[in-house]
Amino acid sequence: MIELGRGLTVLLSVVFYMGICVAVGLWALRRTKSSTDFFMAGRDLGIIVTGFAVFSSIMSGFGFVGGPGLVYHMGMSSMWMVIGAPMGTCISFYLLGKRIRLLAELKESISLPDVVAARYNSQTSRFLASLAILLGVMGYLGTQILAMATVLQDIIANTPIGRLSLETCVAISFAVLVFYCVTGGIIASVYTDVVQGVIMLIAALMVFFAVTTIYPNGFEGITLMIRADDPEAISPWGTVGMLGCLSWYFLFTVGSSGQPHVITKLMMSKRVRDLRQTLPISVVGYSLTALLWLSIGLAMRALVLSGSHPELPRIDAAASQFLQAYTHPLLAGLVFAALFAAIMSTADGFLNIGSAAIVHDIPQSLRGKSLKNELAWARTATVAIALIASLFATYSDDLVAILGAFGWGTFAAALVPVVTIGFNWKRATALAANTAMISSLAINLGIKLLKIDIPYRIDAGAIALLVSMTVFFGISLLSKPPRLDSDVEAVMDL
Amino acid sequence: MGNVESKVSSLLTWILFGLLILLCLLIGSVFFLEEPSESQGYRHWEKETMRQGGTGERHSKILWLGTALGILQLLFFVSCLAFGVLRQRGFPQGQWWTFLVGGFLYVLIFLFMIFTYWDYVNDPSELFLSLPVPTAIMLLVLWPFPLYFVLLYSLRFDDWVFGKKDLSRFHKLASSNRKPPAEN
Repeated sequence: MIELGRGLTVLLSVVFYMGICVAVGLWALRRTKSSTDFFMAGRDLGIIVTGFAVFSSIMSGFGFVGGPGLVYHMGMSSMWMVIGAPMGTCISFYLLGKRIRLLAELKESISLPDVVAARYNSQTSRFLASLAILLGVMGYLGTQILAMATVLQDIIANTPIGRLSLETCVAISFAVLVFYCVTGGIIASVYTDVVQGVIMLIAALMVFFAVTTIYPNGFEGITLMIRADDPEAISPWGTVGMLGCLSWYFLFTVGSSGQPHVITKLMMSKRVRDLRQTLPISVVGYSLTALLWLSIGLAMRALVLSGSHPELPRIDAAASQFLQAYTHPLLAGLVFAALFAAIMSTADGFLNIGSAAIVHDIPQSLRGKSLKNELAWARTATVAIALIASLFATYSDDLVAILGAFGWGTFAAALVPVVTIGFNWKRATALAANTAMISSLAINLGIKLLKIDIPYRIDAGAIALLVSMTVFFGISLLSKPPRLDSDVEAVMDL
Repeated sequence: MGNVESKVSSLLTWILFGLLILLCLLIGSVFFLEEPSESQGYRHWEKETMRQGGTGERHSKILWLGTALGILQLLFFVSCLAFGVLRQRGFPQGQWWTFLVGGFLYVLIFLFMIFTYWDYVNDPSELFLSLPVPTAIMLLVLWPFPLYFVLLYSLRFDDWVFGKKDLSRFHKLASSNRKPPAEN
């Protein structure tokens, strides 16, 4: 009876939150009058909204569900993905914040490939950037929808409704997501990010304190339990080892400036000068919410090792089991609501850039113009992408796993040299950009599909990123300096 | 002055390229090393959903390589930041030291973590703020250290990133291109 009460409280919190999402979608619908509104939020976001949108985009369902599961599974190793984020955000702002915002306004761009095409004066670069984005989006979106459906299934199982099939939960997730994204576009996403960010900050601090009360001697008890079982697990390198961790550090630090769902937020800010306040908000916000990743993961590892909690059925269950068993149901409901918020806004961001690639960028690169009635086609494309990603998520687990792991690395390796370096370096050529994007896709796909084992668990995405950047620099230095459009050159001089 | 800036910019470009080449060589060399069987950890003896790392001895042959890899990465990160500032403005006189100091401290923290890790491998009993010492350095010093660069960005924004002169130059550029821009 008590368990049913907890389950209902959690479910009601989530339903309440989904109701808020629908309301935000309807409100945003009234503000979305053009494709610039749909894709770029009218380039009118203030300091707080942009700051929260940037860090909430990084802390997605992967951060909330996958992160604690990884710490439970492999100890401290995955923390290298987290500790790279502050420096990664700095790189994004130092190299891209101003540049991408100015180019977007000057060229009236509504997508990242638009800006890439303007910088390199190349439709091939636009096409390859769109292709990389579309491939990465499919992988990420599938995992987001699957994460949402899996958590929904766990929550409903603890209520009088009982366990629903995964297909039903995917269908519910799809319906809410599509309604939210199609009606509101990116405006709905960025304003949900603010709500999500606030909830996550509060929840992360409360959960962190909840974790310290599990053992009589607080966090030290957790450390001692894990260390007694395996000293390496609680060392900086965890169970994965030094080289694997450092490859993650490289990929997640440098790679964050190539994540289109994050850097497009920088194109939406109202004023360039707002960036000086947006950066600290993003960095501090992300770091505080990442306490969830660390604290839940370590607590669950210690609890299971000590026999106080049964072994988890799967590593992704770490967060949901901890919240349902060790926190107040209202706090659990709050965190689950934040989790759904994270998934919804990140998925919305992906749907947004994916639909822009289909209705705007690829037609532009192939026939030199976008589709007529772009806004209506964008909404149709959003439904189509969400449907395909949901089908992948439900029926092709292997494919989703391959594409999901491939997502971050694909974005990073394909876009960091072209965007992060190329927007700051006049010497960079279109040939170098195109070769870097092709090589990054070939290496990422090749290693994943051919299942090549890399020694010391060095991440394939890190290798692809390293190679694509080196190729980019090498070809540009060997080529004749390109002739840039005068206005692009002027922005690069600012 | 413009000529000097262009020389410095060119130097920084070659530094970035050089660091990338060195990183490629280090990662490439890993493929020729003999890998110990437990280098990537192994399944927990009792809990199927967990992995264990074993002893720190698994790192004994690659510690130098990992340390070099870490240092080069940190230098690459800081050089990227300098690249973002330098390309368009050059450094105001006497401001180079802020990045040099930042890079130096960043590497120093990383090295301190490596040294304490090796102590931890030999004697894991010591804790600092409820965590093993190297883990505490990683979480409490290395993780928040980029706040130094956040602070630099916010405090030096007008000089390094986008000042009032830049704003008026951009307004002129935008208005010559098309309709008047939004407020920036």
